[in-house]
Amino acid sequence: MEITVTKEMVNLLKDRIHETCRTPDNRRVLENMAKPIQAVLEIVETKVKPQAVYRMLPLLTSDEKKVMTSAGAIESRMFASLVNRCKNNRQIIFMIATIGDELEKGLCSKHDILSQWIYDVTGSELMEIVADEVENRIKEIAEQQQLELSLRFSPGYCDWPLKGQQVIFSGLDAKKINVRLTPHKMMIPKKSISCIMMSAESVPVKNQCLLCSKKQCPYRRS
Amino acid sequence: MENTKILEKLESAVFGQDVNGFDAAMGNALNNKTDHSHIEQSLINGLDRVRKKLLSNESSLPELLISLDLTADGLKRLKKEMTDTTGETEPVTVVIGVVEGDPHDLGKNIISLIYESYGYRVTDLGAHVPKEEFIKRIKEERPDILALSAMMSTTMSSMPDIIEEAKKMAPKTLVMVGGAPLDERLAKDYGADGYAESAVTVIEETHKVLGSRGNLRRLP
Repeated sequence: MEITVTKEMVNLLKDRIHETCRTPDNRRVLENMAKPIQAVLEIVETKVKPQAVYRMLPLLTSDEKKVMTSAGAIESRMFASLVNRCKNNRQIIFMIATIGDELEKGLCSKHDILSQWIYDVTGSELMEIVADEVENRIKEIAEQQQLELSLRFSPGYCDWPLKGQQVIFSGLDAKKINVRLTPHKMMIPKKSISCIMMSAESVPVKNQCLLCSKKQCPYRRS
Repeated sequence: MENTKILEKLESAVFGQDVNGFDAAMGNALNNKTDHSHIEQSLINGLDRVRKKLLSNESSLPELLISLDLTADGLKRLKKEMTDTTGETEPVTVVIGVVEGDPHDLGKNIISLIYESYGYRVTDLGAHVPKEEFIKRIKEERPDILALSAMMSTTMSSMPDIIEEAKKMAPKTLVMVGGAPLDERLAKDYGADGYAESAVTVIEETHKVLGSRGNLRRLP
């Protein structure tokens, strides 16, 4: 799936970068930052070609510890707890999205720490925007089939070990979008997202954080 | 222009992220043959003021980064001019790196630059550094500080092993850790001597850990 970086996406990205860069006193964006921000946005508009792959796999079995799919077991009690609350036509959606390595290349060419930081922030924010776009497209397709979706869930978060990447990469053709795993299960290009979502006719709890007792967790989505 | 005024302008430029003002002040300081240690101290004073402002949430990370870039640039220009290094105190040495499996090195780069700006001699091993590489460098360099960074909960679990080995290899080397998934309690549990929450506090925390070693640059 090719994702075109639209004007709206660039504007949203610009807003988010500016929000991150604002000074606390008068909420201004420093003049020194205008040039590097402009430069990075130009790369986003002209060079970055986000891509994604996704696939719906039927859920085979599930117990309180894990969820089985044809690509392998998702070993997360929290996700299993969410899955076990879902009813009818239960499927797991596997998804990998990337913005490629153009911003990484740009970052590596910069010697000042400010520019490196701007490139990094831009890459992370753009990746989130792209992942939201892919999720929205999948959601539209699911809705046409009267299916609901849970929020995205990635290996390395909550109680799902990073080795869970292997399951996602077994279930999808990541080569198609030039994303690969290192032996430590990190993705290359760095600005990539891999995740699963639960899909069923009824997904009563969409956010598994609501099932978790760790109220102070820094990654909690509430 | 007298030296005091030049140094004040230099400090203000770093503090105020005034790139043009900085170039002029730095040029004046060098042309005026201002004492290099005074120039260095003015750069650090400016950076320190931004850091303290950020500590009380009156400043932002980008402001700190601009000031940090200016300080690093100033120190680089100063180094080029330096011919006589006799009488200089031996700097505190740091070996820094992000643990294996973790590719996030921007935070570490910022800490590394902060250390350098404050006069520490830094060996930056980069990101995704295997335990063996840390141990090899500790053996070779016997640094005062080993600084370990991890941005992911999945990779920070290798820290205790590295710390244990490092302590065996070089008992005098002090270990600082930092990164998003860590806190002070975890750092202690892992056997680290100190924990720095961010680039804003790393100097004070390191200073605390080094205690009365005597070879540490005085903090403004």
